[in-house]
Amino acid sequence: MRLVTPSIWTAGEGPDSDVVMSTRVRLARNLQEVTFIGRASLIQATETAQAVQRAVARSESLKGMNWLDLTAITARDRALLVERGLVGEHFSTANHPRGMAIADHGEVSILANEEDHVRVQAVRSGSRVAQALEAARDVEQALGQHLPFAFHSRWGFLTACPTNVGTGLRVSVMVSLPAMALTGQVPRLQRAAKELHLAIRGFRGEGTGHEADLFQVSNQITLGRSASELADDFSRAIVPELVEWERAARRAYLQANRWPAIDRAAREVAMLQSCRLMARDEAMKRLGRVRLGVSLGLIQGASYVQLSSLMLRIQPEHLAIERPAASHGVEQDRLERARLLRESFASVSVSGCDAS
Amino acid sequence: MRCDVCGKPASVHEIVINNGEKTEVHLCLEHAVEAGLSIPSAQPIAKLLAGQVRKKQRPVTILCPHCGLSLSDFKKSARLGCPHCYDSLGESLEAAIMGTQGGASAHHGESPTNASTMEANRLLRASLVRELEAAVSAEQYERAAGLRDRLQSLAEDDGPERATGADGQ
Ligand SMILES: [Zn+2]
Ligand SMILES: [Zn+2]
Repeated sequence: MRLVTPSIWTAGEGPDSDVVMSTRVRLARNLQEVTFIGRASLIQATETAQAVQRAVARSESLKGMNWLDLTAITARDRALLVERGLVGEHFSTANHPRGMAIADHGEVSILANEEDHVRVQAVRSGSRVAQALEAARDVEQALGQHLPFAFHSRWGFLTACPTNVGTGLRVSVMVSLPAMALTGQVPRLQRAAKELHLAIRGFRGEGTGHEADLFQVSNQITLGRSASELADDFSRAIVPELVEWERAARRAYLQANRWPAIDRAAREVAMLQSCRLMARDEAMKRLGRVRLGVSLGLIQGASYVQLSSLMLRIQPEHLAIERPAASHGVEQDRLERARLLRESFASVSVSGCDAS
Repeated sequence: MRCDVCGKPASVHEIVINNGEKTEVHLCLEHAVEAGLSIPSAQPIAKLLAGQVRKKQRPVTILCPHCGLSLSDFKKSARLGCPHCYDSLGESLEAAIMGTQGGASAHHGESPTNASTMEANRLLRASLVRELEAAVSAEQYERAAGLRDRLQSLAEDDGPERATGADGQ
């Protein structure tokens, strides 16, 4: 398996892409009469994975998807899937039988035997909640022709964790909020999110810090409102509100701190143009700061598209594919990462540096 | 504490001060939502459920006869064991779900499209066979007989469907 084509969600384009990097929609489903994965025997888990694979193969609209048996592919390929954001660390390294179907460079995928028997996910770049929901729903309906989903007259679609019951829907937008972070507004954001029953996670999900000032904002309530209503909350209220909040913070910051902002941007660019060794975490942090400089209109020659794709290309497995080195190790990684960044930033410049 | 309105277990407790007079209000989630009170958000579901169940049962008590889930299993993983758990756990789960779902008490929206009954029966048969094996090896003959009857009626239902090849197989 080679996932070398850049996945669509790091394309960095789409509505409101100065703030919203990508939109993700997930629908959780389970099979009638079948024990959930946490309590399933090896045989049951194998049968479930096979049932999902069979359904994909039988469906006219899904049979073109590639099936990956997670127990058969290499650890490095699994790590690649994690870097792409297609699967979580836990699913990648678990021991039980599990697999996934992928279409269109990961725009749509089906996970078998994650926390639930079936998880359909759709990812789009920029703020595209309605399109992502439609794509996920198409796949869910096609699967539903061949798989009997557990459905309860009161609780709706049944899930292993009752916090997902009902629609089984999770809408999640990955937002870049560097100005809010810089001006200390993250606690305010967290309070607002709590009130609105929204979860805020870091770039890599639960428990991770907000690396590169990236946050994933998602719904916590899945019951009592339809999937479309929950999705509409995002496209009509939550996303526009967040986008406006961050843009206002950017304007206010630049107005009050013009020279410090220019100084910061210039130092970041100079660092990326001259580094010789660069660790992954440091690179993420610096790319996040460059993104702020671009959003303030201070940096020329670097686009959101380029920055988003670099955030993926500097990850260890992606780096190894792009730049196969004679030897692999932490040092080699850091050398190659620095080289990639130097090349990418060679013709980037900062405006306003020569003004007085 | 019980809900002032309906007597179900109360989840929201408020102290209302009116003209210097202090009154305590206890409401279940449903009636708290109705009264416009804010619902405690995103409480860990395992804690909520444990709070509901502990009053009546010990941690080792089996909560779901279909999958054998116990309260301590649920507390460990915060995951249910099978689709039947939603009925087996009854009122305790109901309160816990409403607590984590902002007071919502029922699904609204899409229902499944017509899933292939053939695949449904195949999965049901597989699970009944396993239950039957377990019942026999545990020498629970009465339960085994019931399961055998269900399997037989399933096989009869299946006959005509297989003949017409409804699922294209
Ligand atoms: Zn009540
Ligand atoms: Zn159960």
